[in-house]
Amino acid sequence: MSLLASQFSEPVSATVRVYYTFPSLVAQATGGEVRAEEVESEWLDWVIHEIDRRTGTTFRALAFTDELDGTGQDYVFTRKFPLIQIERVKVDDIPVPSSLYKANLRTGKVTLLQGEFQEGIGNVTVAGVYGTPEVPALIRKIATLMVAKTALSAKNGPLIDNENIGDFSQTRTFKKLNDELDRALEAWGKRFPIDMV
Amino acid sequence: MAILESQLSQQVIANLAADILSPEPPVLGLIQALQFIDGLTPKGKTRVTLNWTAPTRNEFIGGELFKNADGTPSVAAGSAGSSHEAQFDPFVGASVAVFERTAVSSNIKTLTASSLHGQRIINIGTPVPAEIVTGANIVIDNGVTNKEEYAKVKSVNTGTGEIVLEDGLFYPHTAGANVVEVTLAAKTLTTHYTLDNATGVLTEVTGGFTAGNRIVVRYQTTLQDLNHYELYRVPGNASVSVPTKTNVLAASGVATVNASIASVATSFQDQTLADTDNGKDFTYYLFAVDSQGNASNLTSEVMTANLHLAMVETVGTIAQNPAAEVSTNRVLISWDAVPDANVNGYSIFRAPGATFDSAQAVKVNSSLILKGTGRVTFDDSAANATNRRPSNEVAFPQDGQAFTYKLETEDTATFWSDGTANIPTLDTGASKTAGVGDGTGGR
Repeated sequence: MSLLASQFSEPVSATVRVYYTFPSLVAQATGGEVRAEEVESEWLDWVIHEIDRRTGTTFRALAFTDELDGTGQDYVFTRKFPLIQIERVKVDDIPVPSSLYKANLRTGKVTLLQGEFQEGIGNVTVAGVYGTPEVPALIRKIATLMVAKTALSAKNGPLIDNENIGDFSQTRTFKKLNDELDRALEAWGKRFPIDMV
Repeated sequence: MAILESQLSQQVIANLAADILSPEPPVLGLIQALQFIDGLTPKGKTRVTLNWTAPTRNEFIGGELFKNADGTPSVAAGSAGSSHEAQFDPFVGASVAVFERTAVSSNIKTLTASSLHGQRIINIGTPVPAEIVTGANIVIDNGVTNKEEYAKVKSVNTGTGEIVLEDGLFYPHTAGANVVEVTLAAKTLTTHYTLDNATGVLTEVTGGFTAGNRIVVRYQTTLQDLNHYELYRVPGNASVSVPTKTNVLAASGVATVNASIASVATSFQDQTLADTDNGKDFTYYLFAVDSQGNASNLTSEVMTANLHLAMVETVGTIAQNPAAEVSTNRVLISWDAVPDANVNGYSIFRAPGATFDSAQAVKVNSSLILKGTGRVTFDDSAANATNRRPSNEVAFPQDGQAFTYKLETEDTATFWSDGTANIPTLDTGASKTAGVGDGTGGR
């Protein structure tokens, strides 16, 4: 008695997509005025790029390859941080064994345990994965509010704040949403790469 | 000048013995099962390859009485130079054993039912004479011309009167044929007799035999007329309890895989299985057939000790219609459940990237994914604490990563004839060697 196995099935590929928010959260944020199925996937993509540009970092796990300048010190900082993992470090295209360096994943600081990074322009290559394994709650809130604004705007007329039809009058405003969003963005702040400070 | 001729001499009658000797059965060795796929069979179908060792001898003649041309016993003369000829030749020297009958019991029993050529089990009813025990010798149809033959007892059931014989019977016997225990004294080559293997002629040596005693020989002959092989397939695990060709052909669902495999062949691949046969049990029976149409017989009364049969299980259906759903840090794979009876479940393998690189593939499930019905799903994420390997062994999917998955259908309790070889870890098929199974089935 032993194992008898079939051949492999046809392959099926999957790219795990990051979304900083979800249609269901957007629907909740609008009090149900926008239904989940009315949230376009493009809006979810847009908000990712908007937040990444505004915060100067990302909340996805993305591969990166940085070509950094050696400064004669025993450390370099990656441009992308925080890091999830470092896959390789090279100096002048010569791989540095992982046993000969350590990395601070939070700050992106890579430190040689022996010697230093020789001075040079783009002579140090660091490759790996940066970002965050999970979307922070605050970023999820910001994304949700931003998509909610887009969704409400699309649903009610993007440029109309006041509306009068006969005796019926109503004013639509994003003030409360904007206030909420401002607070959230202010709480998050903005980060810059270490070498730009 | 003219030709001057005498009258014709007296006539001499020469009867050629009918060739009813069957070849020994071929011995199945390595059995391999591969799964074949093409556009018409995306679910895959099993192709079973059987390899065997060709027979070189005919079956044993368990106890032949030396006879004259008229069928009367050619008894010992008790003098040097007297000769006796066996029915068949040439002998395989190492197989020959010669005996002299020195005594016959007075306790006569009879067959309760008729017996056929090759039969190994007879019944003499009860009570069984005390002298008929394991290792004893018996004579059947004692004194009956062209029916008298000898056999060695393998086992006795005194409760039923059933006797298992060491060798299959040569002659058919009718119900009521007499059965008597006899004393056979073993004789030694050169000391008691000489033997011409090529002609099957035994010549007495001085003092070798007592005049008037019967001489019995057990022997095999060289197989010289192997004509072809016949391969049959029967559903189930060895469902033919006495696997003679006659019984196999009468079995329910029997399929003739090929009834004319060339005699020089020692391997054959069964390509007649369909995808609907996936995940089922089958037994193959391979017979050697000589030019007279005699098919090889049993070598044992124990079904699974006959190595011309092999029990196999076909490979399970390949999982169809795999699909993936993604959400944050999560991939949900689903596929159509495989209905095969023998299939126990699935394993799922994951490779990084958009193409499946088997060198980088890792098994994701920690235990077999159950067979299920309808659509079966597997959750590749931290949320799966049931049957997914931990993250320190296989990292959880993270947003932005791409993976490719493949599935494998498995039977973890496969029943084949004993012996295992070349089981792949990831792909393509399976193979096993035939051997002696327990005949109980795998599940």
